[in-house]
Amino acid sequence: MLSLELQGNIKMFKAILYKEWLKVRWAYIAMLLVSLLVLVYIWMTVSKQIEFNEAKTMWSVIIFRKYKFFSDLQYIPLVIGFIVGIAQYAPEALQSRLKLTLHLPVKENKILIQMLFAGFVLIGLLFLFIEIFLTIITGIYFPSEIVSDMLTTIYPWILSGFAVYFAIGSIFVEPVWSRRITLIITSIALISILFTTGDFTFSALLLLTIVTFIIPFWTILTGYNFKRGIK
Amino acid sequence: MTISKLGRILVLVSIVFVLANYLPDFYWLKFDKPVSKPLIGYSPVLSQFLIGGKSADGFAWKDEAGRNYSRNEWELYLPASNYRQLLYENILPDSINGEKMDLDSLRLHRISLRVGPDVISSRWIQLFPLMESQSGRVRLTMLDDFFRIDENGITFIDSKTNENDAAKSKIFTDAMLKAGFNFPSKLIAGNPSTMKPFDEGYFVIDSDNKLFQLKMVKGKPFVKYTKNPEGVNIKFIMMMENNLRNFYGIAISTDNKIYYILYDDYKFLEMPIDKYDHTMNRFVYMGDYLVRNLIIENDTATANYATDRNNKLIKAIDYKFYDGSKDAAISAFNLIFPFSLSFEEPKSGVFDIFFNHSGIQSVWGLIISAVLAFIILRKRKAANGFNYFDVLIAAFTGIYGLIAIILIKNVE
Repeated sequence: MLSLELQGNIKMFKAILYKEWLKVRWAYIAMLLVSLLVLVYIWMTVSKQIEFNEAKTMWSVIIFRKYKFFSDLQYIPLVIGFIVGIAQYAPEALQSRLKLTLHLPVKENKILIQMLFAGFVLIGLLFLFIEIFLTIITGIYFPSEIVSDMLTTIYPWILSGFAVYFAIGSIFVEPVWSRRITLIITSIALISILFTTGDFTFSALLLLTIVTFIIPFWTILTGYNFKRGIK
Repeated sequence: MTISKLGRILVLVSIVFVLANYLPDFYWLKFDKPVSKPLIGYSPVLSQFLIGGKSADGFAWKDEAGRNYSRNEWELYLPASNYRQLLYENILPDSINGEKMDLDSLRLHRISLRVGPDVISSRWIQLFPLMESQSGRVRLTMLDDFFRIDENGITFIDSKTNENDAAKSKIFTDAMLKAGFNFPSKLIAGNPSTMKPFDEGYFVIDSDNKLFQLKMVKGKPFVKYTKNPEGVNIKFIMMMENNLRNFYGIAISTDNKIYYILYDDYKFLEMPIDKYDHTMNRFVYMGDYLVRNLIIENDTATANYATDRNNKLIKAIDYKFYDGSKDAAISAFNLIFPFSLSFEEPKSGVFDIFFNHSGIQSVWGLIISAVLAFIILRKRKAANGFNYFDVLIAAFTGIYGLIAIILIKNVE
């Protein structure tokens, strides 16, 4: 038996999810198409390279030279997170709609976190689609070792998509430019760590995941600053 | 604590994380100095080491007493490693210390090999090509299949179809089981390249720490238990097929010993070295007909153990090349930065969490940061209220926390 409060929360989240979807749907569909194009391009490139250079050569460069045949995908999650974030938050910021939202008799943190969570679910679905599609392509031509290497390699790229999205969502509420700039620089620095190319260990990936998922909670501070108009 | 204070702490944590990653980098971009590592070779003619390194007027050769040598002299005193130049100039001596300078021997013994900590710790996709080692052709060729070894045995996967070759897999698995191999494997080491004179396949350690050689001879499996010595826990094997056919390659143990794996019944021959740490030092083997130089390098010194062809130590040197030029920068670093955080490390082949504490020197920096935080917060008192927690942050994270609390003011 769900408590009444939880039921209310779920109802409210559904409403927010729908409202956020309406805002981002065109950007979202565009990003879905871009991802699809890049994935098909990667697919065609791999099949062409195997046809021209023999499969064993392709396997060898992947295994011994760490060639990443899917590297065209590297910045796609970042672009997705950025575009969806802008689509979701720019209207709020430009039309000062947020003031209205935050004057509702609900805690500002709750609304802001739920907005971020809605976007997280949406771009998360898109990333999941990319991962599944790429796993299928990779699995056609290569054995499971190469598939799991591909998944560990793209993991920090996927994190970068979440990181930029969370950063946009948290920073746009911040009313003071000096603090905004601090947070923008901090998030750019964080994201650039995710693009160091190499084999991350499990513990390194875990730490980067934790750090990425701290970003949405910056809104607790920035939302507070917004509501109080702290200079 | 209010929820908004918690939000601020999360922001501070993020800023400290980023600063601990980047500020040390910026510092070293400005203050790092190149330290050039010397080349050290044993001269069988002079019976001492010659050390080559950068000096005021370019590259210079010196002996242990500091006397200078020209490049030509160096070549003459290390004749076996420079035999090609001496031959070209027609000044190669007929014999040195009673050893005849015959061209075949000179050529065969000229082998070099290097293993750094980054190579040992790097990570590779565990798929391997098995070549035909007796094809009857001079050139080696790659076949279409790659193998993996897991608990079910060895599996060959055809790259053309990405499907398992069940028949071949069964033949090889059976051969390995018959040789006493206990699946899965702990280490597979080989030299998967066609740019080598011939193929010796792979050294594979099974789950009972037994070392096997695996290769393919005329399409059939060749699996042999090497009776590797018990008590030698192998960390890393570098295979290096060479025409000398004296050793297959080298094995490095977890307790930092280095062994030749000999053609003579796969015997492990321990090299007469000490002071080696496979997580920190680079090992270089520079062998020629007269001397095998076993070199252990770290950031400040190079040790060279000159041995003869029978692994007998002739002479050793521990040469400190670091001149202290970075000491001041390091001290200042430890004072300013209480710790640093990085995912990259030149000595590591993987990206891991590298947290370095600056040690006792950092205490002064932490105290200064705390005092500065105290003064700044006192000045801010009117607007944002004084809080001891921020002083604590600066006291524990030093410059990073200090910058963070200055940028992000306290909240109610």
